[in-house]
Amino acid sequence: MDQAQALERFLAGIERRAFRIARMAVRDDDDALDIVQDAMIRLARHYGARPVDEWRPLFYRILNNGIRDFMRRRRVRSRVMAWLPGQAPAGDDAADPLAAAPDPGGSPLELLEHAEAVAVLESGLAALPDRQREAFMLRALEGLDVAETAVAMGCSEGSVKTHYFRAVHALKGLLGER
Amino acid sequence: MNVNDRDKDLESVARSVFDESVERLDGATRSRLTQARHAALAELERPRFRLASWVPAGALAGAAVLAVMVWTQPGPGVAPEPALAAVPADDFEMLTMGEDLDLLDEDVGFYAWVATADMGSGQG
Repeated sequence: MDQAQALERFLAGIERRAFRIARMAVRDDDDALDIVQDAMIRLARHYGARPVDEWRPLFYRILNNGIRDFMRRRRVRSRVMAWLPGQAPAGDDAADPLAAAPDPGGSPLELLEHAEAVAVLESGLAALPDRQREAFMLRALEGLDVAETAVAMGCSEGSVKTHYFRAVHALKGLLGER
Repeated sequence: MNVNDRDKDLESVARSVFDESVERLDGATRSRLTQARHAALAELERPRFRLASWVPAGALAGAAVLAVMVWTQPGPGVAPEPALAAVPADDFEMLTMGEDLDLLDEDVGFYAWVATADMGSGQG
């Protein structure tokens, strides 16, 4: 299998999960798609020639950086907008009922339950500090081990463990209130 | 159930919700992801500027330019000679011949007469 085929297989296997990771962080489909596409292109452009087993942590590092940059820009934009007269902040962190609409498949009750569960998880993750959310999503949802998560987050393994521990306990508090 | 079990329970519930959301991704989003993947794969086909291949040539060119600059640059105690290049070749030769230069001071009128006489002989 040549490098292009290997990369296609890798991206095809990871793209939906990457989209969901980005979607849960930024809570907007279009923004999440843009971030994922950018991460795919950057991986191909800069690391396409690297060994296949390096791609996963590298891809998640690029994706994570993309999400982090996006969130930073959004916060700055919200602060600027708040200063402008007659311009209400976009309310980026508010739950989007259309975006949380159920995906096709299953009975209406199942879809509703699933949509509610996703919305609850998203709102819990949105309440976490960035680094804790990153650690939880990469470790618990994406299944990266501590070393891979450290590469993806650009920090030490000890920091990953600390962020993850705090994220789990914060989420228990947040979701336990419901 | 102890604390660790409750942590694991939270993780497994979160992961199952996440996995299900991945499975339930709608067709439009899947299609856009496929397009994004193809755009990324096209990057592999594009010729890229490879820094490594340009480094030796660039370094060589830079060294050559630096050498020329050092060679033509006057030393710290040497005054620049900006007007030298503008001096015609004949004048330059005259200026460098000290003894001939002294003749100019001796009899400017004589040289003026020689010039006139030459013109006259040329005509006759």
